[in-house]
Amino acid sequence: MRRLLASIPTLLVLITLAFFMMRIAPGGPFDKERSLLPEIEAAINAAYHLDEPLWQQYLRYMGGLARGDLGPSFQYAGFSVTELIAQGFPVSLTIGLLSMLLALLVGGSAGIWAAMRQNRLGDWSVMTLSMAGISLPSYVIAPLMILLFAVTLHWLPAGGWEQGRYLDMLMPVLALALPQIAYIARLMRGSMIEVLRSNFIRTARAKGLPERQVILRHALKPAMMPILSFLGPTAAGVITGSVVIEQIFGIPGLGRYFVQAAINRDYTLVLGVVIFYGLLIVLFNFLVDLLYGALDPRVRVE
Amino acid sequence: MALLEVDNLEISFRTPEGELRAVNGLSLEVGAGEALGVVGESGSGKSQTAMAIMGLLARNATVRGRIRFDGQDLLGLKPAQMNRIRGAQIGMVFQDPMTSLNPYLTVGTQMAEVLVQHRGMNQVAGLAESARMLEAVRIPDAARRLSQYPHELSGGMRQRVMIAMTLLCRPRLLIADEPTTALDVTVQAQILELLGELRREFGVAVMLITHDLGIVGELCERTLVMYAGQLMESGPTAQLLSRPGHPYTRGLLDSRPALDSPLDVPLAAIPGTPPDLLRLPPGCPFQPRCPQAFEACSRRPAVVERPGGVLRACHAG
Repeated sequence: MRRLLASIPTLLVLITLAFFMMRIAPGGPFDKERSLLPEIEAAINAAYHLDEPLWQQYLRYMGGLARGDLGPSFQYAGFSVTELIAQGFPVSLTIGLLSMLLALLVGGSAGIWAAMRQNRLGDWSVMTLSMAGISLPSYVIAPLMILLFAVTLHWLPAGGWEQGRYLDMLMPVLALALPQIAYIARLMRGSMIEVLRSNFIRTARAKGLPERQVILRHALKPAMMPILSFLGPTAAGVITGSVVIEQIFGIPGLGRYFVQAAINRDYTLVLGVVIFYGLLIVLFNFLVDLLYGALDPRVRVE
Repeated sequence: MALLEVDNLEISFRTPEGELRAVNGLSLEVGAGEALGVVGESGSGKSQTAMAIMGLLARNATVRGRIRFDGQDLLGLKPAQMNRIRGAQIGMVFQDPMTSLNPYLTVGTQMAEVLVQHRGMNQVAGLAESARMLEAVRIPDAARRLSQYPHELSGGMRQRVMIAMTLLCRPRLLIADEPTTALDVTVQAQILELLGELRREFGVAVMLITHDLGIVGELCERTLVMYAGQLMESGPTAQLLSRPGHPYTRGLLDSRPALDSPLDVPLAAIPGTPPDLLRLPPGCPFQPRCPQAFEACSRRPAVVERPGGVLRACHAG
């Protein structure tokens, strides 16, 4: 609990920085190609308090935040930022969680498999594949997947998002998971090789335990530790939505809102998403700490 | 037929610098219920010999020769067959009790799994038997210890747990590789005493690996002195300690500090360093450091039987 409270100053700094950086950027939320009538512009600015001095706007925003109010969106008239996040987040969360789960399962097993064949053919192939997975950006992989599975083979829809259509999820989840799979595989391989060299693994082997049990019961937990610390911030990033993936597959998630808000100078929406993202990172790091304690008995004593 | 017969064992490792020859034609025997001390400096190949017996050598190792346990050739066994012997018939205790137990699992889990694996017991029966074994190694409050993690135990306590763990399946041979080196002096004595008692209680043969000649005297009837992966001298411990025949054995004995040795006299040390195992000389490996070396020592001496059950590899006699 103390750790959660300690993160409040960090969040405040984050919010303040984001607030002023957003304002430094040229242009405003209501700049259009055709300029508005001065009276209308003044009326809009007054309605959104943009006519006040910046520090006053800042205090007003922080005051609202303290009451849990993220303010109205500047771009989506009639919607509050909270409503927009509530709309986009479940979609990003679904895709993000599924792809993290996939990445953990596939990447983790591939890493273990490679570690057990260190410097042999199987190891080299897994590591080469994962190097490719890390190097290929998702904006290359995703269109290629669409080309193959949607355009050529007609197996899957090229994009879109309808409630309950699981086929829609398949490609985005896979595209989002691929780099994570590759990264986790490398991480797991390195950490597993390290653990397999430790004395307690030698003891486990000296006890005559079969290799499967040596790996699963004795080596897996310690080998998971580095992956856990990687997972915290990564999971927060992935479940708040990938800008690229959501754009390519036409998914109405949080990531897409974020980019559009930044382009539109939708001040409140950008800030809202930044705060939400910051909160999630704090939360996930906290969860990772809890998991550390659950896995490693030496951490539990606090 | 002895319980353990090692015959002309050779162990080498492929390294980037070349072939490292850790053990070079070593033969030894351990009879049922007998205790053999294997003494040598670091790098003398004593630990690698133990690892070869356990089938736990690193992957870049090559083994030649023969290791027979209870008449069975261990080097020819498949991993699954070896797993039925390891931990069940041959147990091994390692040097560093601080890192040899899994920090992520309770003592009970780590002990009971041995019985589940080799005896087909269920978890409950395994834990009960483990508690009994903890009592046998004089750990008080055994039931509570089972639910503890290694970091909650002292070094001596952990080594007792290790010993108890290896004894669970009543092995016929216990290999102890420097079991007391990482421990306090007082704890060292307790662990040695315990090993002696358990040996009688369980009738288990012991192969005690150490660099400390003082330790073998307390536990082992027979001692084997190794140097550069070769046998230098072996025989009844009492005889080796009182009348060492090999210059190396003598050097080891002389470089041992005694409690009553005067403080102003510096400790005797064997001059020089052990040979480079990447480039072993063809002759007696101890020749460069030997005070008695002569021309013949540039050929490798044969192991010759002497009166009193002593084996010695030395041209000087």
